[in-house]
Amino acid sequence: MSRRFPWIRQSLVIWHKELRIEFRTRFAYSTLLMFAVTTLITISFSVGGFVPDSDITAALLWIILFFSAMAGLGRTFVQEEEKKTVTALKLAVAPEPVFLGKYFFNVTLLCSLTVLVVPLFLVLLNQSVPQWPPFLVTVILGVLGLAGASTIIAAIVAKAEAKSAMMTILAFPVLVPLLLAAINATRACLAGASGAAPASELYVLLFYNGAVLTASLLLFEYIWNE
Amino acid sequence: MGGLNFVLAVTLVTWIGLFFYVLRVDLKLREAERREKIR
Amino acid sequence: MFWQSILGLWLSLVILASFLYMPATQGLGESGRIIVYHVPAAWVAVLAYLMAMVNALGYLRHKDLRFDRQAQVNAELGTVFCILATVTGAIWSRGAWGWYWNWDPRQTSIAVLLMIYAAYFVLRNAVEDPQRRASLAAVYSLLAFLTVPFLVFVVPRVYDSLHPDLINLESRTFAMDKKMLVVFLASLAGFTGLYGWLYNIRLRLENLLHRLESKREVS
Repeated sequence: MSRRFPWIRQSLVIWHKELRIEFRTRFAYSTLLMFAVTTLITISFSVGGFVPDSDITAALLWIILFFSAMAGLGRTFVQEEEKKTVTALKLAVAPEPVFLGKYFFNVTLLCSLTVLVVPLFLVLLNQSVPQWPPFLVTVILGVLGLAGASTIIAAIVAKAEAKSAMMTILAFPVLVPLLLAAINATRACLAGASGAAPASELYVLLFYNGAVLTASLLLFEYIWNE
Repeated sequence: MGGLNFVLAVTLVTWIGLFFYVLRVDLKLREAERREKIR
Repeated sequence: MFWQSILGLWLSLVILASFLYMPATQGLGESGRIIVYHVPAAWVAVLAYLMAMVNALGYLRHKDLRFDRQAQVNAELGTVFCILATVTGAIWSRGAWGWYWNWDPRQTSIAVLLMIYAAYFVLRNAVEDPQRRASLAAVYSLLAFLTVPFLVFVVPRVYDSLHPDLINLESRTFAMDKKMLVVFLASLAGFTGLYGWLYNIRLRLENLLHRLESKREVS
């Protein structure tokens, strides 16, 4: 068990490293932001004054977040390959902290994006949130899940050719349960105070996060050491 | 129902055709494996 | 030759029985007969995937490319049967509910499985080195399958809230006529046997090709 402790410290160090590097150029963050905002504005513009049904807007929110993640998080591991820092990382730490560090970083990226995009989304599409505590939980769990799946898939993609297209193709089947649960829960939260709180969807989101994280930690070394 | 008999016929013929095709592949494979052992 | 002949005969009899021996289904009529093909095909698609995952675990453990060849063969067969299952399912859906596709829980599940298979092959094609390809493909197949059980819990809820009327029409617990049950089970056995035969042949071919490649490299 004492092996676990160095992992946490090392993951935090790697997270810190990612943040510092990203802060220099802000490539990933600006990609995320650009994509999300552009999509949102386009949708809002074409919808006009009309207030769309919660069925549709719930899906729209997660479409925006999903594709933003695909666009912005795809290169998580590619930089290491390109800048040849892979060897240094392999010598420094075990595979697991590398994954965790990158995961925390992607969570940070997506959360910063979500904090901007969700209010903007609610405003531009004239949505009210009758059940906002479940809504908040849904968004948080959904974004965590997006980050987790994106990180492990990005690791796979970094070792293959044709990287940008691969990310979406590989990530989508893996993310279907998350997206469906999140959309369904969001729909319930946006629709009305009368509907039952989307408890089972939230459980699904929670367990999905747990499952993906566990599987990723177990499987990551096989990708990393290829 | 003439339509039903038609579907039955098509299905049966398709299956039998596929079956003999795969059987042919099986036999050719065995031949290749046999030759490999001799060489 | 013996077992192949039995298989050929068996499935031919199943086909005949599904049209001539078995009565038309209640509620769905003649188009319901397709269930004799649809469910076994879906079953084989899932079975093949499970086997591919076992192969994946084997490869990750022993790093022997033999497991990767097995995984590839299983994935190929799984994809073929998955396409069959999806198409027969759509035909069934048209007969039962009027539309070819309506995202009911099982249609969604089989569609996701098909997407996983497709993604798996895209990944395989994108990697040159055999060992790396094997590792990445193995990891992906394990990761992707992990998420499928969650669909079981999510999709029924989505489906219920969006398509309440169709639920009433669906005969989920199919009270099967005894004759139909017999034909259905026989088909299940036959499809499984077919999968076994196709797997055997395909794997032998793959191994043969591999042996030839190795010989060529040596000489």
